[in-house]
Amino acid sequence: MKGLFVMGKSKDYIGELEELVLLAIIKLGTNAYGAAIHEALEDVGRKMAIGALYTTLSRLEDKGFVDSWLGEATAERGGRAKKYFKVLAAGMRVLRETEDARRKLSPELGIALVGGTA
Amino acid sequence: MKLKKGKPLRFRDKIVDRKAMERRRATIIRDLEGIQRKLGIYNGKIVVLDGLDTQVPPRIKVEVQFEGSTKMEATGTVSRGLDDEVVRSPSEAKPQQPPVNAEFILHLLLRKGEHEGLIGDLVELYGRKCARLGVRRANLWFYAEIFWTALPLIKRAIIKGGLIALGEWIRRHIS
Repeated sequence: MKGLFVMGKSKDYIGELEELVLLAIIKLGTNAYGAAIHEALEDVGRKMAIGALYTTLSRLEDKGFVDSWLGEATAERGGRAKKYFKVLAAGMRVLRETEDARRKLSPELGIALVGGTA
Repeated sequence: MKLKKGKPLRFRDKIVDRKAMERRRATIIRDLEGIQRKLGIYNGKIVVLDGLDTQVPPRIKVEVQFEGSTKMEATGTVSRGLDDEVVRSPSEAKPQQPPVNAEFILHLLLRKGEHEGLIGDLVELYGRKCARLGVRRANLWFYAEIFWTALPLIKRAIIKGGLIALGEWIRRHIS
């Protein structure tokens, strides 16, 4: 059903927020859970509700870019378990592709910025 | 030292012996590690800030460092001298509980597998906000988070409900 409303192969592409979330998970390594990812994004000036972050994480999981599992419960979290995330091979591949595309386009962006024209 | 009835005992004698001070530090830290376990602060550490330079410190000031950069100051009581255990845990270091009614809204909207991670993260972040901003502002932050978190969940529920209704309508009209 979903495929009827999706134009092209959107499954293979990631948005800017998805890219940042993937990078944050990679940066945090084995400590990549919701609150830590949220704080890592806040550190780079990207403020968002935790619900929005979980929506993004859920989308990435549906696309097969990340995997999640429940960790230990702590009193600090009211006895609730942490949900950890890990970037899968498909996630790494899509990040590399995005980075390649950016690298190919960035020299022209540089010229435009230096020249003062859009 | 003169004692007056009803007034608390105060110990102001400074320890000159550095080794004795180190022993005291080790004792207090060992005791605090017990409290740490009791409080369930598994991802942090306790640093003794004050109370080491008195011979029998009735109160010691500690700093509880949670995971990340969050810090919380608390005061604990040592009851019986040098090698005694800390009998009263630092009450300020207990994790604050967020408003229950706001949390309940999420319970209604979230799917079964989403409860643990999302609400746990919100509670954890709420505790850090409490330490940084105070309970009142942390409560406001929590309500705002619930609002912005609930919006996409409500949207999802409406879309899901709408699709089910549409499916029902099509099924009724085709059959």
